[in-house]
Amino acid sequence: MNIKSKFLIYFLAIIIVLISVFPIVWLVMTSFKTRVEIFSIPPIWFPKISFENYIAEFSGGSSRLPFLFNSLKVAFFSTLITIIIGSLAAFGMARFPVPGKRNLEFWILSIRMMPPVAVIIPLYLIMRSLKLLDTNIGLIIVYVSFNLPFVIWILAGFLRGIPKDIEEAALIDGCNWFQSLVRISLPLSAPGLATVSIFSFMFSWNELLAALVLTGRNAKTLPVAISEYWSTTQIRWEAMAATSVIHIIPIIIVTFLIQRYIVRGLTMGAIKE
Amino acid sequence: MQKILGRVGFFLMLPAIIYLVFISVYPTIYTVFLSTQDFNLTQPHKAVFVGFGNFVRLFQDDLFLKSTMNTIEIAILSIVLELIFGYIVAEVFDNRLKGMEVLRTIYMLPMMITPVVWGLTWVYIFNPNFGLANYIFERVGLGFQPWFSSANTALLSLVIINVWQWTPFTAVIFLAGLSGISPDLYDAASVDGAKWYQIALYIKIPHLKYVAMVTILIRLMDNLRLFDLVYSTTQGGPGSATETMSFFIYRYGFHFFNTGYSSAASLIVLVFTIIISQFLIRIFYRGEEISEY
Repeated sequence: MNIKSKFLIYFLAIIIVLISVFPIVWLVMTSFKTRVEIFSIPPIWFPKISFENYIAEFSGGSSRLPFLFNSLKVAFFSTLITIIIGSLAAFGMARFPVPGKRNLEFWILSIRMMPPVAVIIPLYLIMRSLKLLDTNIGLIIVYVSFNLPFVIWILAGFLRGIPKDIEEAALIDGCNWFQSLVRISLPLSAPGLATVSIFSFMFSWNELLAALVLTGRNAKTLPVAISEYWSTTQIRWEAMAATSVIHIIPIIIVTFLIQRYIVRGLTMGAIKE
Repeated sequence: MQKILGRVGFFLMLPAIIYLVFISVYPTIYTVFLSTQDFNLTQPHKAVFVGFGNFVRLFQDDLFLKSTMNTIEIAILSIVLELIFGYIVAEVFDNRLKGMEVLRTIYMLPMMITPVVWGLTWVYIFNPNFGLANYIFERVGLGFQPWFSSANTALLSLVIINVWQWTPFTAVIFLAGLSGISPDLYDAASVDGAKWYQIALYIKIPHLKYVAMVTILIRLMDNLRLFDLVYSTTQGGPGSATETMSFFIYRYGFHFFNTGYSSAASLIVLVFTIIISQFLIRIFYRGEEISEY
């Protein structure tokens, strides 16, 4: 490839990336602005860096800190439970001649594709009768069900990619199936486990509808708190931006961690890179 | 032995199966039941069986029909644009140059972040009076745009955000597809003196058929459940210009507490989704068979 076409490709790639990340940059800039700077025309591109909006939103009487903790708690525990139940199922699915396996797989995949909006009303009624509305536990239970099919499906795909011979050798050497799971299969599927854990965390961290419906004053998560800045009259843009930046920092970090598996994860393994 | 192993495998799967039956299957059946009831959340004891009554009402409800049309319109516009832009982006990134991988990951960031954040951020950018978009538009001579504040442009504004956020998805999928093309094909084509557009038309695009189908189906299902973006930008307005099916369900279920009616609407979304997912699942299994050969 000659220098000229190389230059052209870099140029186009950088323009594409700029279009893509520009709103992120703008959001960060907005979070540093003062009330007056928000409405300034022409817009202020580079405000003075000040963390006043962050301090205002995450301290004092109306602090968003509890919602941040709710988000962390719910995402962490729902991921943990999903991984425990899901890795057992994935192992069973990938490695054992379970009768009717095809149908089970098919069923799990169908559940994954179900729109949450189709079950949100019954889930609300169930959580209400269990007295779990506006609790972290209620939301965790629901998120596990959202993420479980995903985790089983993707993890089973990862496990199928590990040669069976290694496990069989372990079984011949006197391991039972549980030891072969814990000592051989789990360590070998560590990258897969890490990937599905991160995805599961991310889905829970980003979820809005169920959190909006199932939680209130006490257990609301950060996305719900962010959505509450919305108003028909006056939106506090600088405050919204500060809270949003806090919310997206972990996502930006994990995106780089799982970059190799994003395509596989988001297409349910239909397309591998 | 085979039988014992099968049983062990089934026991490993059992917790997941039980969990999903209780928290996914049971609620779905519950939705079917609720859709036949005239049931208001605030008066739970006054539920009345109405059979298909809710569905009959839905098909005569202008707002529901409008929300269906809007959903279809958003889905088609978004997906077509995402496919076109996604292909262009994939062509650019499909060059093994230094630093391309990092650029690609940065490029993917928008789709990893919750639409709530993007909805609000874009409402700020699209603010007719002090937003950045109009400032730039006026500077380059495109003039004042009302964006979300007019019924004529609100839906298009939603599509712009949707396309902006999800083109990376299409692009990285196409990229994965392009990387699967054997270099021999390109060599053969260049020996035959093929132009770049002939290579695109006769080698690349036919090769992307499978991945494009997967993308279209996944994005169709995504758009059927489009909620976050609407909730954080227009909340269905102005008027009913951007009311989508998911938002309709949410409003009737949790603002008007018209549970039965809302459940009927969500059942319609579910049926659409199931139809689409059947196509997708078929492709999944075909893809698997192909890779097994």
